[in-house]
Amino acid sequence: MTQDELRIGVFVCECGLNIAGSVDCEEVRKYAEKLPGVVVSVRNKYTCADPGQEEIKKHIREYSLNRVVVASCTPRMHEPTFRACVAQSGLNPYLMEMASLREQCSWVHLHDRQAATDKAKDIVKIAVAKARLLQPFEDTKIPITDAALVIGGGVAGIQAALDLADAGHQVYLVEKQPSIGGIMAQLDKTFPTMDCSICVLGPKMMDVGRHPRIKLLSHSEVEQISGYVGNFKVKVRKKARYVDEALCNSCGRCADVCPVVVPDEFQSGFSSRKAAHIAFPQAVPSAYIIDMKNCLGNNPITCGKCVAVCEKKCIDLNMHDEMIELNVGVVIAATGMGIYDPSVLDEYGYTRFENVITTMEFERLICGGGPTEGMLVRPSDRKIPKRIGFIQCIGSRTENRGNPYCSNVCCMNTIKDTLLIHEHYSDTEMYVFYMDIRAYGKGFEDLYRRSKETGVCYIRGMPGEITEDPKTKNLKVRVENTTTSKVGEYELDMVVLSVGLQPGDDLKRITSLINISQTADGFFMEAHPKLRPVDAPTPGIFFAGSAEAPKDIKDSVTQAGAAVARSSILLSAGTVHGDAIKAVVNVEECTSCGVCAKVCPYGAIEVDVKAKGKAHVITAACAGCGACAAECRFDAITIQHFHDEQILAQVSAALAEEPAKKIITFLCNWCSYAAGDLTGVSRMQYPPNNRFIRVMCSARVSEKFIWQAFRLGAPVVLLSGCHIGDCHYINANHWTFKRADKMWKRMDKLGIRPERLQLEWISAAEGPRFAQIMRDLEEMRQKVTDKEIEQTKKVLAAEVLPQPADADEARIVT
Amino acid sequence: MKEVNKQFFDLQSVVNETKIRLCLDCGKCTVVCPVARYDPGFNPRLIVQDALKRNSHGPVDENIWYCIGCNMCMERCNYNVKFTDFIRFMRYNALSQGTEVKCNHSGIPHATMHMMANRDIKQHRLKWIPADIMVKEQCQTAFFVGCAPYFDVIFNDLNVKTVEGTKGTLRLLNHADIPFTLLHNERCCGRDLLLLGDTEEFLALAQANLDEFSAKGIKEIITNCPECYYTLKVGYPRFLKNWNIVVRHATELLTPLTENGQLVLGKLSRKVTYHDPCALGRYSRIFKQPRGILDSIKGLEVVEMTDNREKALCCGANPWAYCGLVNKQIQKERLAQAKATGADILVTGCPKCQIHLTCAQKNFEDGDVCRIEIQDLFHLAAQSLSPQEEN
Amino acid sequence: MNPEILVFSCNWDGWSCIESAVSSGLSYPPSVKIVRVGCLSRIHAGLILKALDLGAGGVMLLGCEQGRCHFGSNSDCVTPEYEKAQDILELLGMDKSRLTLLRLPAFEGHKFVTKVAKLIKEVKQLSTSGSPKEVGGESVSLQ
Repeated sequence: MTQDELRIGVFVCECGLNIAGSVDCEEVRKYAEKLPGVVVSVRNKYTCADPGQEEIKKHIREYSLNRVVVASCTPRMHEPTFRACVAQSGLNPYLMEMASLREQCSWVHLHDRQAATDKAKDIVKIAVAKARLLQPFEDTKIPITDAALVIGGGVAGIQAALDLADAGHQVYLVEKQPSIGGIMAQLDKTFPTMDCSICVLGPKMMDVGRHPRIKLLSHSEVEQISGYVGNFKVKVRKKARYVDEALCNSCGRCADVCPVVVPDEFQSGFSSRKAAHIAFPQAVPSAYIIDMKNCLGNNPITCGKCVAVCEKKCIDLNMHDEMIELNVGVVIAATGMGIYDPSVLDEYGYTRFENVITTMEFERLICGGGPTEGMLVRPSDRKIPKRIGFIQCIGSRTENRGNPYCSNVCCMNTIKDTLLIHEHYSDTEMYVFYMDIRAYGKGFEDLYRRSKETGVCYIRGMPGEITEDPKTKNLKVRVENTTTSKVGEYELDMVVLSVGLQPGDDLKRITSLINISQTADGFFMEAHPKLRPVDAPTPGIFFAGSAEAPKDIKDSVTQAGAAVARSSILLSAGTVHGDAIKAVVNVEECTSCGVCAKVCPYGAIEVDVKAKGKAHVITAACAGCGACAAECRFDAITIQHFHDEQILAQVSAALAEEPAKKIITFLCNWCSYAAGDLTGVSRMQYPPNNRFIRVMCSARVSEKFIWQAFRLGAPVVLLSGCHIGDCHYINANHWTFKRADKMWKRMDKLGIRPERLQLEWISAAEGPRFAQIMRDLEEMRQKVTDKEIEQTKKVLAAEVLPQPADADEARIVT
Repeated sequence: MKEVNKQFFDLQSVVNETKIRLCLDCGKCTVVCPVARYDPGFNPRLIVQDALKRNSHGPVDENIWYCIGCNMCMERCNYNVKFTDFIRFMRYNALSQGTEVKCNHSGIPHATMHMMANRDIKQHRLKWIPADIMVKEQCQTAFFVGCAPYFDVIFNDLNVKTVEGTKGTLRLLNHADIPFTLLHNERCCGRDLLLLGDTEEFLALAQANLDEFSAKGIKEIITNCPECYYTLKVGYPRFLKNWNIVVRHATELLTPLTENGQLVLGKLSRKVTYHDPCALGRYSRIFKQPRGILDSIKGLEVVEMTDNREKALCCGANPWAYCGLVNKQIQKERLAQAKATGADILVTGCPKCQIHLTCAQKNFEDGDVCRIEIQDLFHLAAQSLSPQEEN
Repeated sequence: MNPEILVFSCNWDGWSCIESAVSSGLSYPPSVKIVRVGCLSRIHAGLILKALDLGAGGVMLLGCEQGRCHFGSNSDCVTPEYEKAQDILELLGMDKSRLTLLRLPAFEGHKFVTKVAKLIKEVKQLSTSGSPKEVGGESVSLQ
């Protein structure tokens, strides 16, 4: 069967009375029969039902059809059905095109049978025009390396690594600290169950250490990630530890002899450690490390005592950083969170008053493994504080020296802390100063109630300032109880600032490594906030834990599990399937200008601009939005199944008869087309003058499609996509906007009223708005005079119309 | 004028602009508000809540006149709710409903400002200029004197000489070879009227000043008065359409010169403490520069009060509107803080602080909690240049 | 058109002058408005300026002679206020003659009328020909 011998079959569906009720299907069928390339046209009661599908298969066989047009409902509903149907008859599924007669015609023009029938004919004609140019494609298949990189060894990273490894996959766990454990390792107890943090985390850490399929790279940092889903190449810097972690048996003699004493970070600086040290007793890997910043060095004259004393001879003070290269199929980013530093809140005197501490410091003070072995003393005089205040929302819910969001965990953490104190020292007076207590989780409210039962005094109001009695070092807290509107002063022995969470210091670095974005609050941005909450917009990258938003332990573990499930889908399948809607570069036309690489939201195009290397599409990373093809001024990029020629043919078909009565409307598949469908399902009526052309993303719409429409006499053109920020291709619709803006300016110059090109962002939920916009467009259309259209045609005929990008440059090239 | 500045007169716009609906009800403002500290009936949070509930109708809340506009509340507010701006609007509203402005000092300051707003007025405000000060007849830079000459007459019973601060500034500018001219018919900047809600008269003064500057071809303004500085720098561009004059506080010009050695000050063996005027400190964030001037005076020991810089306690009475026991207590507290530093002199850069704190000293005869010499920053600095003139 | 003149009169000798002017059949222009106060000590610079601010062309303070104050204050409290108001007027570039302090013995209706007429005349002159000061502005010379 050759390409030029077109044999198109059209199947007009009545959909019971859904279509036939307001469209004369027989007339449409007859009309289709006469269209060029159509060899048979059939009318069905229900095309999607088995008899309907059999009919299609039968006709494909009997008439040797090589293209099929199903004129029924929206492709968002039954495209997969009919693709499978034609495939069963041996036809490539990409040779089937749908015409939406129901959502876009019969349901929205219920009361004007003639107009609906006329429009239906046009819709079929447009579909046939595209069908003539359809080409067969195979779905893409990319092999996947069965290994995962987990960045970050906090509880989320640990859980993700263990689950993935248990599921049979190789895991590389990279942790920048000398030991895994993260923030959870520093906590004393966890809410709402009040169980010991390290007791539940410790065993998991050890499991990681000895798991045959987990390669733990501690004291290491990811420096580079390249590649795409299934095939990431990772460079990790394993920083010199100066101790061979495999040999070290943690005897601790190096630390015994080490003469350098520095504050211990793990104990929040409340105690000291040596330069040769282990982060904490349960550390994994269980090996010492030499802190080279403070070490006196290897010179035997200065020191070298640790080297001398080590029986296993595992200390090497000349050790160097090591670069390790990994190949992985997926990446789980579990880089954790940062903790708000209250130093800037001078009114609370964190830097000035010894007895003002943070919740993290409190955790170490109350912890049995802490510097005081669990005796809660206040820093100034090491006496047990009898009156303790907690101040909530430190650095949270503010635009003034902090973060605007709620940090999620601080309320419960404080409630837990009050109960801990009560358990240890039941006569302690406790005050919690808060704005709102958010005890939303399972068992949370119960814990809050228990805390109140013990007599903890919850005062709704935030202290304005804290002053210190210089003699007693007691703190005076002035606060308005906003439930009584009275300002009170509380003298307290110690104040705990309930500090909020924020994006980690190196989160920005990680986002640039894996080419993903941050939300306004600085955390990782998900592919979809509700339906794909652990996926990065870039395929093959997943999130776990607080790097995505502030989370407690339970949520971090839950999310780690979700990330593992999502990763396993890819790793277990071994290949990733994708549809054939992808960008393809015609290297002969490519001038290596690099615009395509710049506009690609996925970084899926590589161009070596300097070396004049041709553009290359990483098919696995390409999502098929088409922004590159629309921006390429040399027509060097084709989007499979959405060719320029196909779309131009649709425009021409739509405007073949009575163009002055038509409004050409480009709809993106995800939001605007869906809004159109919703309008239909809701039976909202609008004038029948629109002709719809579906593209995957509004960014696919080249300038030339729109110029073509105007050249053929379209009075009004609408370009519609998802709202900015909701684009299904990360942010491709920014280019839609830029292009429209450029076109308006150009139209203005050419004397064409810019209003004739409309740009609307319509979400899938905005059915009524879709209908209203259609009505507005029709009103607008009626105001465009024939004279104006003729004038436009004349101007455009004379004009060498620019491709995207700079007009003058384009002309020089051509 | 009102049409142009609709955003300052319409409740909805003001609500949006001041962000008062974002109030989290945390009560920090009440705690740090100096007025609330001495007047339990005054609660910034409740004033806003109440106003929103009443939607600006109904009887005027007496409390709106008691705010001293020190902006301490905004310093702490989580959402930077512009309480003082909202108070200004509520006062404007109260005035539009026919309420009389609360007025102290027998209303002289306000009557004087109103009279200055008269376009035909021809003032005689520059008689105090001594012969040694060099003033250019023509210059694109004008020195904005402010109301110091008026203050010295209005408050003659306090025996304050705020104009000495102005003289000091001019001498320092002379000494640093910074040329300037003076305007014969400069008006009050109008800040007090603005804060009092007398927005229309404020706009009249602002427009008169702008006309005066334009007529003289002024491109840059230097001033020593913190209130004039803030109003000209921030207020005028907000309210006036064609405002493109650069406004600088004298310390912004002088301090860098003392640092790079172009301006050398003399010696004064005194111990001083610096009081941050609200308009210069919290409003304009100028904390470092005035201290820089003091630091460059040889032999001068500078000590800080417990509440300084962003936390500095206000001198207690802002737009001459209401002054009562509460205000006196605030002033007393501030003077006691100064006294506690052991300094000989409380130095301030604002003529109003000087007046209010001096006045408070008259009120409190009990012991010497409040006895401390009060001096203007520039006056003090200029004195160091010619020690023989001291006293 | 006569300029508006506001007279602050004390309740005792000042007021008796006005009453006696009326009972003697003397007249003064209707643009003269009288505000009676207990004693001139009640008057402060703010009230004087407020009157001028609200449009009065001139202000007269009418009270008892020195030593004859009914409250024994000798009406002296008013003097510094009167002077302060004059000083402010001077700063504002307005002529001091707009403001006059008149101390009269009781029942001197004639003198009151004469003085009020004089004030009206002076104020009138200021607003028509204008005093050199009010028109010319300041004459401090700048280098």
